[in-house]
Amino acid sequence: MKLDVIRGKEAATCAAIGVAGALIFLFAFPKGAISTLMHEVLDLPGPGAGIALIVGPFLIIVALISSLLSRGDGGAVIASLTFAVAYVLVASLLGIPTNPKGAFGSPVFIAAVAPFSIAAEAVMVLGKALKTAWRCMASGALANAVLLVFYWIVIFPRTYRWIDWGDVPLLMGLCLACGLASGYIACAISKPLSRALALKEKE
Amino acid sequence: MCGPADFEALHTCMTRVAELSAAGVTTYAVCKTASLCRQLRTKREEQEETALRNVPAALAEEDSSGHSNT
Repeated sequence: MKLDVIRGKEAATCAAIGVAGALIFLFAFPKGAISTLMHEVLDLPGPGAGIALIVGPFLIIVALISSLLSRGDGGAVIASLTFAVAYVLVASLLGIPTNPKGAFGSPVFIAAVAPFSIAAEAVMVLGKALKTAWRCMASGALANAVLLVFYWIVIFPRTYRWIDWGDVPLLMGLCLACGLASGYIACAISKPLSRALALKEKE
Repeated sequence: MCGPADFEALHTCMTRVAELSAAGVTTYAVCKTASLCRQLRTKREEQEETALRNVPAALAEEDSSGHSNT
C-alpha cells in the first residue's frame, strides 16, 4: 500500500495545530483539575479515568482535525507528536506544574503519544473505504484505548500503582465511548474548517 | 483517590474552559457573518453585471424598432 506522506505547508499546518492544542490544554487544565474532576466529582476509579475521558479525547480531536485537513497521510502523527513535544517543552521552560502521576512534563509522555498517534493514523489510512464519520470514530476509539493501555502498563505502575482488574471494564468502556464521541466531534469540526480553508485558497 | 483533591484548580479549569468556549463561539459567529456578507456582496455584484450586460441588447432593440418606424 502506497502512502502519500504530507510535507511542506500541510505538515507545518498539522504541527501548528499540535502546538496550538498543547497550549490550549496547558491553559485549560491546570495541575490537579482533571484528577479532582474524575475522582472527587465524578467518583470514578483510577488510575486512568483522566486519560480516558479528558487527555485522550482532546488528543484525538487535535490529531483527527489535522488528518482531515490535510490531503496526504501522516497528519495525525505529526500533530500528536508535536502536541506532546510542545507540551513537555512549554511546561519545562515556563515551570508550569504538572501532575507527576500522568508523567505529563516528561519525555515519557511523548513515548505514550507515539503509539497513540500511530494507531490513529493507521485507522485513518486503512479505513478510507469507510465514511469519514465512521473512520474518525473508529480511529478515536482505538487510539484512546491504546493510550490508556500504555498508561496502565508502562506509566502508572511507576508513578502511582497498578490498575485493579475490577476497574478495567468500566474505564475501558468509558475510554471507548469517549474515543467514539471525540472522533465524531473531530469530524464535525473539520467540515466547516476545511470549507473555510478551501474558500480562502480559492480567493 | 488518585492524589489530593484540588477544587481551586478545578474551578480555574472550569473558568478557563468557559472562556475558551466563548472565544470559540465568538470567532465562529464573526467568521460566519463575514462569509454571509461576502456572499451577499457577490450576489449583488453579479446582479449588477447582468443588468449592465442587458443594457446594450435593450438599446439595440430600441434602435432597430426606431429604424423600422421611419
